[in-house]
Amino acid sequence: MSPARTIVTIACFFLFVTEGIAGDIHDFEPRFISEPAISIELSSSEFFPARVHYFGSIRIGGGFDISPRLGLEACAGIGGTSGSRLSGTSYYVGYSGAFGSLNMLGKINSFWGVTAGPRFSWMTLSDTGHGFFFPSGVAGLFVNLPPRKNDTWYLRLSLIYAQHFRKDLVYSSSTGIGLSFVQPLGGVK
Amino acid sequence: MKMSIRCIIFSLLTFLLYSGCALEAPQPSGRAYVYGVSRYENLKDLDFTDDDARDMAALFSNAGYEAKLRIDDGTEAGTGPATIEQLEKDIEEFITGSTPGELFVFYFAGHGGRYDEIYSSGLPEPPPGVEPSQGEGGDEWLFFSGSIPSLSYETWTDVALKDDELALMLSEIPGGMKLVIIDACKSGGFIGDSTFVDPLPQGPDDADPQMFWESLFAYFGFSEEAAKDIAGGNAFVLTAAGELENSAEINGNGVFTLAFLEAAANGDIDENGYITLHEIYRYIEETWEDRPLTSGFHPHLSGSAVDIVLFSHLPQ
Repeated sequence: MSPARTIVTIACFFLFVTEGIAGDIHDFEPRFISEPAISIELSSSEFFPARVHYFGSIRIGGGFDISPRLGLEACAGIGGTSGSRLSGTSYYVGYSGAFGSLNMLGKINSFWGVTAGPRFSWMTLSDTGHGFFFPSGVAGLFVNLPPRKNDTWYLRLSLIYAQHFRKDLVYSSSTGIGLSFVQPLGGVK
Repeated sequence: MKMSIRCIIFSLLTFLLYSGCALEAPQPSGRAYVYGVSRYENLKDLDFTDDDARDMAALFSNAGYEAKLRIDDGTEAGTGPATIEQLEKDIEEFITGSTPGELFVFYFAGHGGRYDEIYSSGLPEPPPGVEPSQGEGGDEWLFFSGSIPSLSYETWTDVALKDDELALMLSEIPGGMKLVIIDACKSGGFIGDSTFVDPLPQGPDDADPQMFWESLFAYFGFSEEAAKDIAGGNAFVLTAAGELENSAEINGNGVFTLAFLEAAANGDIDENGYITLHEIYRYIEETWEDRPLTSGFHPHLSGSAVDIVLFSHLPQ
Protein backbone atom coordinates (compact mmCIF):
# COMPACT_ATOMS: atom_id res chain seq x y z
CA MET A 1 0.00 0.00 0.00
CA SER A 2 1.42 3.35 -0.93
CA PRO A 3 2.11 5.91 1.81
CA ALA A 4 -0.63 8.23 0.57
CA ARG A 5 -3.18 5.45 0.42
CA THR A 6 -2.21 4.26 3.88
CA ILE A 7 -2.65 7.72 5.34
CA VAL A 8 -6.00 8.19 3.60
CA THR A 9 -7.16 4.78 4.84
CA ILE A 10 -6.17 5.62 8.39
CA ALA A 11 -7.89 8.97 8.15
CA CYS A 12 -11.10 7.45 6.77
CA PHE A 13 -11.15 4.81 9.48
CA PHE A 14 -10.53 7.49 11.98
CA LEU A 15 -13.42 9.61 10.71
CA PHE A 16 -15.67 6.59 10.75
CA VAL A 17 -14.79 5.75 14.33
CA THR A 18 -15.06 9.20 15.73
CA GLU A 19 -17.98 10.62 13.82
CA GLY A 20 -19.76 7.30 13.40
CA ILE A 21 -19.71 6.39 17.04
CA ALA A 22 -19.87 9.73 18.66
CA GLY A 23 -20.61 12.16 15.90
CA ASP A 24 -22.87 15.09 16.51
CA ILE A 25 -21.59 17.58 14.01
CA HIS A 26 -24.68 19.77 14.01
CA ASP A 27 -24.44 23.16 15.65
CA PHE A 28 -20.70 23.21 15.36
CA GLU A 29 -18.66 26.32 14.76
CA PRO A 30 -15.07 25.57 13.87
CA ARG A 31 -12.70 27.60 15.96
CA PHE A 32 -9.10 27.67 16.88
CA ILE A 33 -8.17 26.36 20.26
CA SER A 34 -4.88 26.64 21.98
CA GLU A 35 -3.92 23.44 23.68
CA PRO A 36 -0.16 23.27 24.06
CA ALA A 37 1.15 19.85 24.87
CA ILE A 38 4.58 18.59 25.79
CA SER A 39 4.92 14.95 24.85
CA ILE A 40 7.49 12.34 25.68
CA GLU A 41 7.28 9.33 23.45
CA LEU A 42 9.09 6.04 23.86
CA SER A 43 8.74 3.52 21.13
CA SER A 44 10.16 0.20 20.09
CA SER A 45 10.74 -0.27 16.39
CA GLU A 46 11.33 -3.22 14.15
CA PHE A 47 13.12 -3.13 10.89
CA PHE A 48 13.88 -5.76 8.36
CA PRO A 49 16.27 -7.55 8.65
CA ALA A 50 15.11 -7.96 12.20
CA ARG A 51 16.18 -5.57 14.86
CA VAL A 52 14.79 -3.45 17.59
CA HIS A 53 15.53 0.02 18.70
CA TYR A 54 14.14 2.42 21.20
CA PHE A 55 13.20 5.88 20.26
CA GLY A 56 12.52 8.71 22.62
CA SER A 57 11.31 12.10 21.65
CA ILE A 58 10.04 15.32 23.10
CA ARG A 59 7.48 17.27 21.16
CA ILE A 60 5.44 20.36 21.67
CA GLY A 61 2.43 21.44 19.76
CA GLY A 62 -1.06 22.84 19.66
CA GLY A 63 -4.16 22.46 17.60
CA PHE A 64 -7.68 23.43 16.73
CA ASP A 65 -11.07 21.81 16.50
CA ILE A 66 -12.59 21.08 13.13
CA SER A 67 -15.73 19.46 14.53
CA PRO A 68 -17.09 18.67 17.98
CA ARG A 69 -15.29 15.37 17.88
CA LEU A 70 -12.31 16.10 15.70
CA GLY A 71 -9.25 18.18 16.24
CA LEU A 72 -6.05 18.77 14.39
CA GLU A 73 -2.80 18.88 16.29
CA ALA A 74 0.54 20.00 14.93
CA CYS A 75 3.70 19.09 16.77
CA ALA A 76 7.41 19.50 16.34
CA GLY A 77 10.29 18.36 18.46
CA ILE A 78 13.49 16.41 18.76
CA GLY A 79 14.23 12.78 19.36
CA GLY A 80 16.98 10.26 19.72
CA THR A 81 17.49 6.54 19.50
CA SER A 82 19.54 3.76 20.93
CA GLY A 83 19.78 0.31 19.46
CA SER A 84 20.05 -3.29 20.47
CA ARG A 85 21.14 -6.21 18.38
CA LEU A 86 18.93 -9.09 17.44
CA SER A 87 19.16 -11.93 14.97
CA GLY A 88 22.56 -11.02 13.66
CA THR A 89 21.57 -7.64 12.37
CA SER A 90 21.53 -4.47 14.21
CA TYR A 91 21.69 -0.88 14.91
CA TYR A 92 19.54 1.86 13.83
CA VAL A 93 20.98 4.82 15.60
CA GLY A 94 20.08 8.42 15.11
CA TYR A 95 21.45 10.98 17.47
CA SER A 96 19.57 13.95 16.21
CA GLY A 97 16.36 14.65 14.50
CA ALA A 98 13.68 17.22 14.05
CA PHE A 99 10.23 16.25 13.11
CA GLY A 100 6.82 17.61 12.62
CA SER A 101 3.60 15.75 12.80
CA LEU A 102 0.02 16.54 12.01
CA ASN A 103 -2.29 14.46 14.11
CA MET A 104 -6.03 14.15 13.78
CA LEU A 105 -7.51 13.76 17.24
CA GLY A 106 -10.80 11.96 17.63
CA LYS A 107 -12.39 12.86 20.92
CA ILE A 108 -14.75 10.02 21.62
CA ASN A 109 -15.46 11.58 24.98
CA SER A 110 -13.58 13.51 27.60
CA PHE A 111 -11.72 10.38 28.70
CA TRP A 112 -10.47 8.69 25.57
CA GLY A 113 -10.06 9.09 21.86
CA VAL A 114 -8.13 8.02 18.82
CA THR A 115 -5.41 9.77 16.90
CA ALA A 116 -3.98 9.42 13.41
CA GLY A 117 -1.91 11.41 11.02
CA PRO A 118 1.33 11.82 9.15
CA ARG A 119 4.65 12.41 10.83
CA PHE A 120 7.70 13.80 9.14
CA SER A 121 11.07 13.01 10.63
CA TRP A 122 14.61 13.78 9.72
CA MET A 123 17.44 11.84 11.26
CA THR A 124 21.16 11.37 11.03
CA LEU A 125 22.92 8.15 11.89
CA SER A 126 25.48 8.64 14.62
CA ASP A 127 27.95 6.09 13.26
CA THR A 128 27.97 7.23 9.67
CA GLY A 129 26.53 10.73 9.53
CA HIS A 130 24.05 9.86 6.80
CA GLY A 131 20.89 11.94 6.70
CA PHE A 132 17.40 10.57 6.19
CA PHE A 133 13.99 11.97 5.65
CA PHE A 134 11.61 9.69 7.34
CA PRO A 135 7.85 10.06 6.83
CA SER A 136 5.50 7.88 8.83
CA GLY A 137 1.82 7.22 9.20
CA VAL A 138 0.80 7.23 12.84
CA ALA A 139 -2.31 5.88 14.55
CA GLY A 140 -3.10 5.40 18.19
CA LEU A 141 -5.39 5.43 21.16
CA PHE A 142 -5.22 7.87 24.04
CA VAL A 143 -6.76 8.45 27.42
CA ASN A 144 -6.90 11.68 29.32
CA LEU A 145 -6.06 11.58 33.02
CA PRO A 146 -8.00 13.10 34.64
CA PRO A 147 -10.81 13.30 32.09
CA ARG A 148 -10.50 16.42 30.07
CA LYS A 149 -11.96 19.65 31.31
CA ASN A 150 -12.11 23.04 29.76
CA ASP A 151 -9.70 24.92 31.90
CA THR A 152 -7.35 22.59 33.76
CA TRP A 153 -4.30 20.69 32.68
CA TYR A 154 -4.38 16.96 32.19
CA LEU A 155 -2.12 14.11 31.15
CA ARG A 156 -2.66 12.19 27.96
CA LEU A 157 -1.39 8.63 27.80
CA SER A 158 -1.16 7.24 24.28
CA LEU A 159 -0.59 3.92 22.58
CA ILE A 160 0.96 4.58 19.21
CA TYR A 161 1.60 2.61 16.07
CA ALA A 162 3.69 4.15 13.33
CA GLN A 163 4.35 2.76 9.88
CA HIS A 164 7.51 4.22 8.43
CA PHE A 165 7.86 4.73 4.73
CA ARG A 166 11.34 4.19 3.38
CA LYS A 167 12.24 2.80 0.01
CA ASP A 168 15.27 1.04 1.43
CA LEU A 169 13.46 -0.78 4.21
CA VAL A 170 11.38 -3.80 3.48
CA TYR A 171 9.51 -3.47 6.71
CA SER A 172 9.65 -0.70 9.24
CA SER A 173 7.28 0.18 11.99
CA SER A 174 7.15 1.35 15.58
CA THR A 175 4.90 0.74 18.51
CA GLY A 176 5.14 2.98 21.47
CA ILE A 177 3.68 4.80 24.38
CA GLY A 178 3.44 8.53 24.77
CA LEU A 179 2.87 10.75 27.73
CA SER A 180 1.71 14.31 27.14
CA PHE A 181 1.13 17.18 29.45
CA VAL A 182 -1.69 19.24 28.04
CA GLN A 183 -2.63 22.71 29.17
CA PRO A 184 -5.81 24.07 27.60
CA LEU A 185 -5.62 27.79 27.12
CA GLY A 186 -9.18 28.37 26.08
CA GLY A 187 -11.83 27.34 23.65
CA VAL A 188 -11.82 23.67 24.52
CA LYS A 189 -15.15 22.09 23.75
CA MET B 1 -14.95 2.63 39.17
CA LYS B 2 -15.40 2.17 35.45
CA MET B 3 -12.55 4.54 34.84
CA SER B 4 -10.26 2.62 37.19
CA ILE B 5 -10.87 -0.60 35.28
CA ARG B 6 -10.05 1.16 32.06
CA CYS B 7 -6.83 2.46 33.52
CA ILE B 8 -5.83 -1.00 34.72
CA ILE B 9 -6.52 -2.57 31.33
CA PHE B 10 -4.60 0.16 29.58
CA SER B 11 -1.63 -0.26 31.92
CA LEU B 12 -1.60 -4.03 31.42
CA LEU B 13 -1.63 -3.66 27.67
CA THR B 14 1.25 -1.23 27.87
CA PHE B 15 3.21 -3.62 30.08
CA LEU B 16 2.63 -6.51 27.69
CA LEU B 17 3.78 -4.41 24.79
CA TYR B 18 7.16 -3.83 26.38
CA SER B 19 7.71 -7.13 28.12
CA GLY B 20 9.59 -8.87 25.28
CA CYS B 21 12.91 -10.46 26.12
CA ALA B 22 16.24 -9.63 24.53
CA LEU B 23 18.05 -12.15 22.36
CA GLU B 24 21.73 -12.70 21.74
CA ALA B 25 22.88 -12.22 18.17
CA PRO B 26 24.06 -15.44 16.52
CA GLN B 27 27.47 -15.78 14.94
CA PRO B 28 27.56 -14.07 11.54
CA SER B 29 27.49 -16.44 8.60
CA GLY B 30 27.56 -16.12 4.86
CA ARG B 31 29.54 -16.54 1.69
CA ALA B 32 32.23 -14.13 0.58
CA TYR B 33 33.18 -13.95 -3.09
CA VAL B 34 36.49 -12.13 -3.16
CA TYR B 35 37.82 -10.73 -6.43
CA GLY B 36 41.25 -9.23 -7.04
CA VAL B 37 42.49 -8.08 -10.44
CA SER B 38 46.08 -6.94 -10.74
CA ARG B 39 46.98 -7.75 -14.36
CA TYR B 40 45.51 -5.72 -17.21
CA GLU B 41 46.35 -5.45 -20.86
CA ASN B 42 45.27 -1.95 -21.80
CA LEU B 43 45.34 -0.47 -18.33
CA LYS B 44 48.27 -0.25 -16.00
CA ASP B 45 48.86 -3.22 -13.74
CA LEU B 46 48.15 -2.85 -10.05
CA ASP B 47 50.62 -3.95 -7.41
CA PHE B 48 48.58 -5.19 -4.47
CA THR B 49 44.99 -5.88 -5.49
CA ASP B 50 45.66 -9.62 -5.61
CA ASP B 51 47.14 -9.40 -2.12
CA ASP B 52 44.08 -7.45 -1.02
CA ALA B 53 41.86 -10.26 -2.21
CA ARG B 54 43.91 -12.93 -0.47
CA ASP B 55 43.85 -11.02 2.81
CA MET B 56 40.12 -10.33 2.61
CA ALA B 57 39.36 -13.95 1.79
CA ALA B 58 41.40 -15.04 4.79
CA LEU B 59 39.60 -12.52 6.98
CA PHE B 60 36.14 -13.74 6.06
CA SER B 61 37.18 -17.38 6.14
CA ASN B 62 38.59 -17.03 9.63
CA ALA B 63 35.40 -15.28 10.69
CA GLY B 64 33.28 -18.26 9.73
CA TYR B 65 32.28 -17.32 6.23
CA GLU B 66 32.67 -19.59 3.24
CA ALA B 67 35.16 -17.61 1.19
CA LYS B 68 35.80 -18.07 -2.55
CA LEU B 69 38.90 -16.42 -3.99
CA ARG B 70 38.97 -15.11 -7.58
CA ILE B 71 42.30 -13.69 -8.77
CA ASP B 72 43.15 -12.47 -12.27
CA ASP B 73 42.73 -15.31 -14.79
CA GLY B 74 42.28 -17.96 -12.13
CA THR B 75 45.48 -19.88 -12.87
CA GLU B 76 46.67 -19.58 -9.29
CA ALA B 77 45.95 -22.71 -7.30
CA GLY B 78 42.82 -22.54 -5.20
CA THR B 79 41.36 -19.57 -7.05
CA GLY B 80 38.92 -18.95 -9.83
CA PRO B 81 39.00 -16.34 -12.57
CA ALA B 82 38.08 -12.80 -11.60
CA THR B 83 35.71 -12.36 -14.51
CA ILE B 84 32.16 -11.15 -14.96
CA GLU B 85 31.11 -14.63 -16.02
CA GLN B 86 32.49 -16.03 -12.77
CA LEU B 87 30.60 -13.43 -10.77
CA GLU B 88 27.40 -14.46 -12.51
CA LYS B 89 28.12 -18.08 -11.58
CA ASP B 90 28.89 -17.13 -8.00
CA ILE B 91 25.63 -15.23 -7.64
CA GLU B 92 23.76 -18.18 -9.08
CA GLU B 93 25.53 -20.50 -6.67
CA PHE B 94 24.55 -18.30 -3.75
CA ILE B 95 20.93 -18.11 -4.83
CA THR B 96 20.61 -21.86 -5.16
CA GLY B 97 22.88 -22.98 -2.34
CA SER B 98 22.56 -20.52 0.51
CA THR B 99 20.22 -20.74 3.43
CA PRO B 100 17.99 -17.87 4.60
CA GLY B 101 19.87 -15.34 6.71
CA GLU B 102 23.23 -15.97 5.11
CA LEU B 103 25.07 -12.83 4.11
CA PHE B 104 26.22 -12.47 0.51
CA VAL B 105 29.54 -10.62 0.31
CA PHE B 106 31.13 -9.44 -2.93
CA TYR B 107 34.56 -7.86 -2.61
CA PHE B 108 36.39 -6.34 -5.55
CA ALA B 109 39.88 -4.84 -5.75
CA GLY B 110 41.02 -3.59 -9.13
CA HIS B 111 40.55 -0.76 -11.55
CA GLY B 112 37.43 1.36 -11.47
CA GLY B 113 36.51 4.15 -13.78
CA ARG B 114 33.84 6.42 -15.16
CA TYR B 115 32.30 6.92 -18.53
CA ASP B 116 31.03 10.37 -19.26
CA GLU B 117 30.67 13.01 -21.91
CA ILE B 118 34.34 13.08 -22.72
CA TYR B 119 34.10 9.74 -24.40
CA SER B 120 30.85 10.25 -26.22
CA SER B 121 31.63 13.77 -27.42
CA GLY B 122 34.57 12.73 -29.57
CA LEU B 123 37.20 14.32 -27.40
CA PRO B 124 40.53 12.54 -27.19
CA GLU B 125 40.53 9.39 -25.15
CA PRO B 126 42.96 8.95 -22.30
CA PRO B 127 46.24 7.47 -23.45
CA PRO B 128 46.99 3.80 -22.79
CA GLY B 129 48.00 3.17 -19.23
CA VAL B 130 45.81 5.91 -17.80
CA GLU B 131 42.72 4.90 -15.92
CA PRO B 132 39.65 6.06 -17.84
CA SER B 133 38.03 8.35 -15.35
CA GLN B 134 37.33 12.00 -15.88
CA GLY B 135 34.74 14.64 -15.16
CA GLU B 136 31.35 14.37 -13.52
CA GLY B 137 28.30 12.49 -14.63
CA GLY B 138 27.96 9.13 -16.28
CA ASP B 139 28.33 5.53 -15.26
CA GLU B 140 31.00 3.89 -13.18
CA TRP B 141 32.68 0.66 -14.14
CA LEU B 142 34.68 -2.12 -12.54
CA PHE B 143 37.33 -3.64 -14.76
CA PHE B 144 37.48 -7.39 -14.34
CA SER B 145 40.12 -9.75 -15.63
CA GLY B 146 40.40 -9.87 -19.40
CA SER B 147 41.52 -7.81 -22.31
CA ILE B 148 40.06 -4.42 -23.04
CA PRO B 149 40.41 -4.20 -26.85
CA SER B 150 40.82 -0.45 -26.69
CA LEU B 151 40.03 2.47 -24.47
CA SER B 152 36.88 3.12 -26.42
CA TYR B 153 33.85 2.81 -24.20
CA GLU B 154 32.00 0.57 -26.62
CA THR B 155 34.61 -2.15 -26.24
CA TRP B 156 34.44 -2.33 -22.47
CA THR B 157 31.27 -4.29 -22.05
CA ASP B 158 32.83 -7.76 -22.13
CA VAL B 159 35.25 -7.16 -19.31
CA ALA B 160 33.91 -4.11 -17.49
CA LEU B 161 30.83 -4.18 -15.31
CA LYS B 162 28.68 -1.07 -15.07
CA ASP B 163 27.13 0.03 -11.77
CA ASP B 164 23.59 -0.50 -12.97
CA GLU B 165 24.47 -3.94 -14.26
CA LEU B 166 25.91 -4.97 -10.91
CA ALA B 167 22.78 -3.59 -9.23
CA LEU B 168 20.64 -5.74 -11.51
CA MET B 169 22.69 -8.83 -10.78
CA LEU B 170 22.43 -8.25 -7.04
CA SER B 171 18.69 -7.70 -7.22
CA GLU B 172 18.30 -11.32 -8.27
CA ILE B 173 19.46 -12.39 -4.82
CA PRO B 174 16.40 -12.44 -2.58
CA GLY B 175 16.39 -10.58 0.72
CA GLY B 176 18.48 -7.70 1.93
CA MET B 177 21.52 -9.48 3.34
CA LYS B 178 23.96 -8.41 0.65
CA LEU B 179 27.21 -6.52 1.05
CA VAL B 180 29.41 -5.07 -1.69
CA ILE B 181 32.91 -3.86 -0.81
CA ILE B 182 34.87 -2.14 -3.56
CA ASP B 183 38.47 -0.98 -3.39
CA ALA B 184 38.75 0.86 -6.68
CA CYS B 185 38.86 4.35 -8.12
CA LYS B 186 35.48 6.10 -8.49
CA SER B 187 33.84 3.29 -6.55
CA GLY B 188 31.53 5.65 -4.68
CA GLY B 189 29.53 5.89 -7.87
CA PHE B 190 28.21 2.41 -7.26
CA ILE B 191 26.26 3.63 -4.25
CA GLY B 192 22.67 4.48 -5.04
CA ASP B 193 21.89 7.65 -3.13
CA SER B 194 18.26 8.21 -3.94
CA THR B 195 16.96 7.96 -0.39
CA PHE B 196 19.66 9.44 1.83
CA VAL B 197 22.37 12.05 1.89
CA ASP B 198 26.00 11.06 2.18
CA PRO B 199 27.72 13.45 4.60
CA LEU B 200 30.90 13.44 2.55
CA PRO B 201 31.34 15.14 -0.82
CA GLN B 202 32.05 12.84 -3.77
CA GLY B 203 35.25 14.58 -4.77
CA PRO B 204 37.60 17.46 -4.08
CA ASP B 205 35.51 19.94 -6.05
CA ASP B 206 32.18 18.65 -4.84
CA ALA B 207 30.33 20.94 -2.43
CA ASP B 208 29.54 19.84 1.10
CA PRO B 209 25.99 18.49 1.20
CA GLN B 210 23.17 20.41 2.84
CA MET B 211 22.04 17.48 4.93
CA PHE B 212 18.50 18.43 5.88
CA TRP B 213 17.30 19.88 2.61
CA GLU B 214 19.01 17.35 0.42
CA SER B 215 17.59 14.44 2.42
CA LEU B 216 14.15 16.02 2.11
CA PHE B 217 14.50 16.44 -1.64
CA ALA B 218 16.05 12.99 -1.95
CA TYR B 219 12.86 11.49 -0.61
CA PHE B 220 10.35 13.50 -2.60
CA GLY B 221 12.54 14.00 -5.64
CA PHE B 222 13.00 10.32 -6.32
CA SER B 223 13.90 9.95 -9.97
CA GLU B 224 14.69 7.16 -12.37
CA GLU B 225 18.21 8.47 -12.70
CA ALA B 226 18.72 8.40 -8.96
CA ALA B 227 17.27 4.91 -8.81
CA LYS B 228 20.24 3.59 -10.74
CA ASP B 229 23.36 2.29 -9.05
CA ILE B 230 22.99 -0.06 -6.10
CA ALA B 231 20.03 1.18 -4.09
CA GLY B 232 19.98 1.01 -0.32
CA GLY B 233 17.25 -1.62 -0.29
CA ASN B 234 19.21 -3.80 -2.68
CA ALA B 235 22.54 -4.15 -0.90
CA PHE B 236 24.90 -2.46 1.53
CA VAL B 237 27.82 -0.88 -0.31
CA LEU B 238 31.15 0.19 1.18
CA THR B 239 33.66 1.77 -1.17
CA ALA B 240 37.22 3.03 -1.03
CA ALA B 241 36.60 6.37 -2.70
CA GLY B 242 33.96 8.84 -3.75
CA GLU B 243 32.37 9.01 -7.15
CA LEU B 244 34.95 11.54 -8.32
CA GLU B 245 37.93 10.26 -6.38
CA ASN B 246 40.78 7.87 -7.02
CA SER B 247 41.91 5.29 -4.51
CA ALA B 248 45.48 4.27 -3.77
CA GLU B 249 47.59 1.34 -2.65
CA ILE B 250 50.64 1.20 -0.44
CA ASN B 251 52.76 -1.25 1.57
CA GLY B 252 51.23 -4.44 0.33
CA ASN B 253 47.56 -3.47 0.29
CA GLY B 254 45.12 -0.94 -0.95
CA VAL B 255 44.89 1.88 1.57
CA PHE B 256 41.20 1.23 2.08
CA THR B 257 41.52 -2.54 2.29
CA LEU B 258 44.28 -2.23 4.86
CA ALA B 259 42.03 0.02 6.94
CA PHE B 260 39.17 -2.47 6.58
CA LEU B 261 41.39 -5.31 7.80
CA GLU B 262 42.37 -3.29 10.83
CA ALA B 263 38.79 -2.30 11.51
CA ALA B 264 37.74 -5.94 11.44
CA ALA B 265 40.20 -6.58 14.25
CA ASN B 266 39.89 -3.41 16.28
CA GLY B 267 36.62 -1.77 15.26
CA ASP B 268 34.37 -2.94 18.08
CA ILE B 269 33.68 0.62 19.10
CA ASP B 270 30.89 -0.16 21.55
CA GLU B 271 32.84 -3.14 22.91
CA ASN B 272 29.95 -5.57 22.82
CA GLY B 273 31.81 -8.33 20.97
CA TYR B 274 30.25 -7.65 17.58
CA ILE B 275 31.68 -5.60 14.75
CA THR B 276 29.08 -4.15 12.47
CA LEU B 277 29.33 -2.53 9.08
CA HIS B 278 28.68 0.89 10.57
CA GLU B 279 31.40 0.35 13.15
CA ILE B 280 33.88 -0.62 10.45
CA TYR B 281 33.05 2.47 8.44
CA ARG B 282 33.30 4.66 11.51
CA TYR B 283 36.64 3.13 12.53
CA ILE B 284 38.05 3.66 9.04
CA GLU B 285 36.83 7.26 8.92
CA GLU B 286 38.17 8.10 12.36
CA THR B 287 41.62 6.74 11.51
CA TRP B 288 41.67 7.85 7.87
CA GLU B 289 43.54 11.12 8.15
CA ASP B 290 46.37 9.45 10.03
CA ARG B 291 47.06 7.01 7.22
CA PRO B 292 49.50 7.65 4.37
CA LEU B 293 48.28 8.44 0.87
CA THR B 294 44.73 9.20 1.98
CA SER B 295 44.60 12.83 0.95
CA GLY B 296 42.09 13.45 -1.76
CA PHE B 297 39.75 10.59 -1.14
CA HIS B 298 37.50 9.13 1.54
CA PRO B 299 35.65 5.84 1.90
CA HIS B 300 31.89 6.00 1.39
CA LEU B 301 29.06 3.88 2.72
CA SER B 302 25.57 3.45 1.42
CA GLY B 303 23.05 5.01 3.74
CA SER B 304 20.75 2.48 5.24
CA ALA B 305 18.90 2.71 8.50
CA VAL B 306 19.80 -0.93 9.03
CA ASP B 307 23.23 -2.13 10.05
CA ILE B 308 24.56 -5.68 9.89
CA VAL B 309 26.88 -7.64 12.12
CA LEU B 310 29.91 -8.73 10.10
CA PHE B 311 32.25 -10.20 12.67
CA SER B 312 31.97 -11.52 16.17
CA HIS B 313 34.69 -11.60 18.76
CA LEU B 314 32.54 -13.57 21.14
CA PRO B 315 33.53 -17.17 21.82
CA GLN B 316 31.78 -19.59 19.47
